[in-house]
Parts: sequence; structure tokens; C-alpha cells
Amino acid sequence: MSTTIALLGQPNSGKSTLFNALTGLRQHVGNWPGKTVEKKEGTFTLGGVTYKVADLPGSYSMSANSDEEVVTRDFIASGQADVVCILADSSQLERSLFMLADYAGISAPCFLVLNMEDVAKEQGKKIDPDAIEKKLGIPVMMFSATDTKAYEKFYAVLERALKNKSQLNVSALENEYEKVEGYSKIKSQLDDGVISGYTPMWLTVKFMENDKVVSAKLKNALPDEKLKKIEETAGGQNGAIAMGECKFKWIDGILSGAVSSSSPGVQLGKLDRIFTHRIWGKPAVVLTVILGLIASFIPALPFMGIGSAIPMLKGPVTASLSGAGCPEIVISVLCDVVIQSLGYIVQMLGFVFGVTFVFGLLEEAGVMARISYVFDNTMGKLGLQGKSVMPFLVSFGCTMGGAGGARVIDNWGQKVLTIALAWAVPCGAAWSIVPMLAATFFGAWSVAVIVAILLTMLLHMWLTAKIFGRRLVKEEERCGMIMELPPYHKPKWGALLRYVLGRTKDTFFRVTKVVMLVCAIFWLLSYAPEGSNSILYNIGIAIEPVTKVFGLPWQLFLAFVASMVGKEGSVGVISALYTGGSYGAAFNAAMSGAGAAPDLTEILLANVARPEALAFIFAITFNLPCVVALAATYQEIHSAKWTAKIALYYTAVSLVLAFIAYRVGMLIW
Amino acid sequence: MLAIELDTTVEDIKRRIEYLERMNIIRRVSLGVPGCGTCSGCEGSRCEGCMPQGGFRNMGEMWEIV
Repeated sequence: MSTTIALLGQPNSGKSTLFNALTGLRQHVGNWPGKTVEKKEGTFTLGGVTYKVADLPGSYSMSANSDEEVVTRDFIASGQADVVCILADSSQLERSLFMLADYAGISAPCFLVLNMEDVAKEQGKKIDPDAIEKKLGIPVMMFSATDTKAYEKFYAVLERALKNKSQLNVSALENEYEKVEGYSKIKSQLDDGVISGYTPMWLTVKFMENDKVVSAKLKNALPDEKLKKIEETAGGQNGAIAMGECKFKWIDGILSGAVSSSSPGVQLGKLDRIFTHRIWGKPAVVLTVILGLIASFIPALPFMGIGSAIPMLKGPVTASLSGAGCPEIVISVLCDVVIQSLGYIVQMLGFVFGVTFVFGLLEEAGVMARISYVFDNTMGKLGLQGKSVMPFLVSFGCTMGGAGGARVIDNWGQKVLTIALAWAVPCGAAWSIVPMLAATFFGAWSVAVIVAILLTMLLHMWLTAKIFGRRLVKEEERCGMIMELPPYHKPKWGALLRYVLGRTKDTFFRVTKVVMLVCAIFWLLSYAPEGSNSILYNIGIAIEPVTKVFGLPWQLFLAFVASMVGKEGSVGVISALYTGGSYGAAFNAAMSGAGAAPDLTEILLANVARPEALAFIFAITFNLPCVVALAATYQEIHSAKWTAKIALYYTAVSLVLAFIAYRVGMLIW
Repeated sequence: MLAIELDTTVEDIKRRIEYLERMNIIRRVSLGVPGCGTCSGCEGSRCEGCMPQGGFRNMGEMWEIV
């Protein structure tokens, strides 16, 4: 004759340590019948009595959310266990006693082991097991399963529980349940023993929690009339929340006066007090981002110096190649396409490096999570999910990555809206071109231009959400997130630098291909023998009356069109149209007063007015990101109609923004 | 923050979130972002051109209503 002990507890409550210590090598491991859940059994002998120990699968509760939980409760309800040893983690009793609360209502005798006593002591917690025992009506002990000397105490408590057949006192818990609407009505329909091993209280709670297994069993066990009555009363999701609240209140009641802790109360750090402030939170976050963008100019400076020095190579290269008898067209391609583009690319890389470094640093330090938190409520109101944060963040690098990132959003409308808004986030290519152009035209005021772009981005996203959100996301689908903010970290400089250098390198190869290709195409189209006009010039002059409305000379308008292929492409176009060697006559005709300048910066400054430059910067920043992002969007949302709608909307908005920027620029300069 | 607003402890908030998650009332948001597919070294959730190695790890945890 043997006595069976079932070990019940949440994962990491120390169940396996106790099982191994009790049974040693006398263990058998198999599977529960019909399940892939591991079954561990073992034996030990004490005072001539053989004890059989069943190590039940670690599960959070006694609900039917997993096979482990179903196996656990079926075993206990089957009456195979003479006593159930419930383990709880002493270091987090508020959480780990949930299993005990969920067990309440099962009639098998039990006792409670408050394991990990040593950890609780280290945390400064003082637990009074006698006070808890008085409230629960079952034996309760402090324990440390890793301490071999503590097992005598365990055996004594085990014998006491077996001798007294100790039952959990559930009256206080039932008092809580009775306060919930519908509980008493459902319970009154259930007779004792309606399902063997479970009390009507336990079955009522599970039914109210929408436990499918219990509901199915009741369906078979109850007459139709009773079943109809309880189904009418069931509270759906609210029932589960209400039952959970009752259990937590009961746990708090048990721990009240029995547990004391020396740990300080909840306190926010100084920075978090600012970031999470109702009034100052948003301004603080916006200021952080602006300061970050300003700081990103610092690492960009050396790159700018090198980039602007590269076109100086044109002189020596031209001289040496001319001396070697090289054809003029080859020299022109090398100098006006290759060297010129390379100079621009190096300058652009500086900003990619700077922006990636600063934003990577903010993410590493945990500040980016605070930024998401501060704007989460606003995002919820706009119909977005917290998941949208990641696509937006990735879009600072690559809109295509952002569109791909929206794949984790299940709701189609929210996914489309997220991608539509991610397009408004200036990508890595925009961050490489825009600061460079802004620095060229506006010097120290370029920071103000960047800030204006950032604010416009936020306004654009808000407006876009308002326009598209109504059709894509229903009011009832709009809600905020629950967020757990990470602690502030010291950045891992090695990992951060690897990321920044990796992205800079990747941008260099990607940008070089696009810039060189587009620059070469536009250079060829703009190439014309002396005394005649190029194809591009003729087209440009024809469309200029329209493009001028948006503040864009035809050269910049063509660069704007090229930016739809890839933002980097616009640099290639500018480079080709404003510096093309054989393009001189047509160029000079188009640009009255254009002087022969040694590099592109000077040519741009001589031929493009500041309002036009401002219009161009806004036009390319908020234009559709690139054709590949367009394809990625279609791939994610599977709607040609919505893809086209978003693309047309962005093209129109970018031109409207250019129009406004031009007019604002005219007022200033 | 939530613990302060609700005048309770962090442990209490954590157990409530855990309960709601276990009951499938809320779910943890996966912050994994697939790579763009075009960068060098872009494979699966690793994309050197778009995100740091291992993704954005310091964005905390998020839950949404199911």
C-alpha cells in the first residue's frame, strides 16, 4: 500500500528540485496518456511507508489554456493523489499564490510549501507561515528545496496534511466570488458531484472564465433547461477579469499582515519623471529628438570635409587624361559623373553615420522606448497599434524595412495605415541628402530646416491618419498599449559601432549604384553638341511654367521625379544637370547668370534661390520613398488600389508642401 | 508608472498583466521586424542595413488587447 503525493506549482517554483531530492534515482519518465506532455513519477520510503510522487507539469493555473494545465487538473480531480503539495515562490507570493487560488474548490487534501525561502530573505521579506496557515486552514511551511537539511520539516508537514486530510478554507474567496454578478445564479444550477472531483464553486468560476473544457463537460452533464440558464448568465471576457480580480483580492487578504518587506515603494527616476509627465512629457521627448538630430551633425563633419574635397580631383584628372589624349566625352563622364557623384556620396554618408549613431544610442540607452510610450496614447487615438512603433523606427533607416515590419500587425486596416504613415518618416537616403542640401543653402540655419522637417513629419502623419484612418480602422479598434519600459542601459559601444558602420557601409554600396546610374542616364539625356539643345533641356523648358508653381526650376523638378526611383537618384540628377560639361550652352541659357564654378556647391548656390532649395528639400523628403518601397507596400497589403492611392497622395502632398515651403521662403528671403 | 497611478505595487501590475495574457485577453506584441531583403547580410530577422544585430532590444515589452 503506498501513498501518492502530487506536486503542483507554477514553472520555476522549485517543483523539479523537490521531486529529485525526494525520489533520487527512483524515477520513471514517460508521457501522459494521449498527450505529448512529459509524465514524471518516482518513489521514496519514509518510516516503512512507500510514497509515490507525481511531478505534475508546471502550469500557470488550473485553466484549460494548455495540455499541461488539463493534464494537471484531471489528475488531481481523478482522486489518484492522497495529498497535493502546492509549491509557491516565496520571493513573489503575490504572483505565485495564484495557483493556490485557482486550486481552491478542488476537494483533494493539500498543503502549501513556500519555497525559495532563502531568496525571499535576501530580498528582505519576512513571511509568517503560521499566520497564512491560520487563514488557509491547511499546513503551510517555509522551505528551501535546495537545502537538504530542511527535508525533516517537509516530512513532518506532509504527515500532518495526510493525517488531517487538510482542506483549503475557501469561504473568504467564495465571499469575493459572490459579489460578482451572475456567480450565485450559475452556481445554484450546479449540484454537488455534477462533475466528479470538482465542487460547484470551482466549476462556476471556470465556466465564468470561459473554460472550454469545463463548458463542454457541463453541456454533457446538465439538462438543457439548466444549461440554457447558465449560458444566459455567463459574463464572457468580463467574467474572466472579474474572477481574476477576486483571486487577487483573496491572495492580498492572505498576505496582509503575514508578509512584510523592507524594499522601498515604487519610485520613478528623475528622467522618467520628466518623460512620463502629463504636460512636459511630449515637449521633453521632442526636444530630445531635436537635440539628437543636431548632435548627429557632429560626426558628419569629417565626412563633409572629405566629400567636398573629392571634386578637387577633377582638375588634375582632366589635365592628366587630356595630356594622355583621352577623348573629351570619357573625361567628362569620369569628372562629371563619377568624381562628382562620389563627392556627394561621401558627404551623404556622414549624415547616415551621424543619424544612425545618435538614434542607435537612444535605442541602446532605453530612451527610444520612452519616446514610444509618450506617443502611444496619441497613436491609439489615430488608430495605430504599439506594433507600429517598430515599422516607424525601421523606416528611419529604410521604408522598405518599415513596410516589411508591418507584417506583424494582424488587422489589415491598421497595417495599411501603419505603412501609409511609415512613408512620411524620412528614410536613411533622405537623411543623407536633406541635411547636406540644407547645410549648403542655409548654413547654421540648416538645423532649423531639419526641425521644420521633423515637425512637418509629425503633422503629415497626423493628417494622413485622419484622412485614411476613418476608412481603415474602426473606432472600436482604437486603443492604447500596455508597456513595460526597460531600465536605462549603458550603451554597448562595440555593438552600436558595428551597427552604425554596417549601415553606413550598406548605404554606401546601395547609394553608389543608384546615384551613379541615375547621374549617368541624366548626363546622357542632357548631353548635346555645341550649339544645340539636349532632349532633357527641351522637356524641361516646356514643363517649367508648371513646375515653377511649386517653386521648382525644371532641373530640380526632374531631380524630384528621379527621387521616386530612389531618393539618392535626385543627387545624381542634380549632379548631371548642373555640372554636365557639354551641357554648358543650354544650361547657361536656362540659368541666366550662371557662372562657371569649380564645384557643384558653388554652382547650386549661384543658380538656385533659397526658396527654391527649401521647396525642393520638402518635395523630395515627403515624396514617395522609392519604387522598391512601393513594391514592398503592395506585397504587404495586397491591394493595388490602396498602394496607388497612397503613392498618389504622397506625390500630391509633397508638391503642396513644396508650394508652401517656397512661399514661406519667399517671405523670408 | 501604472503602479503609481493605481496606487499599488509593481508586482501587482505584473501579475495582473500575466493573468490577462494567460486568459488570452491581451497578448504580448512581437517586436521582431523582418529584414528588408535587399541589404548585404539581410537574412530573416537580421538586417544590418535596417536594425542593430538582434533587432531593437531595448524597446521594452508591449501588450495589446486581443
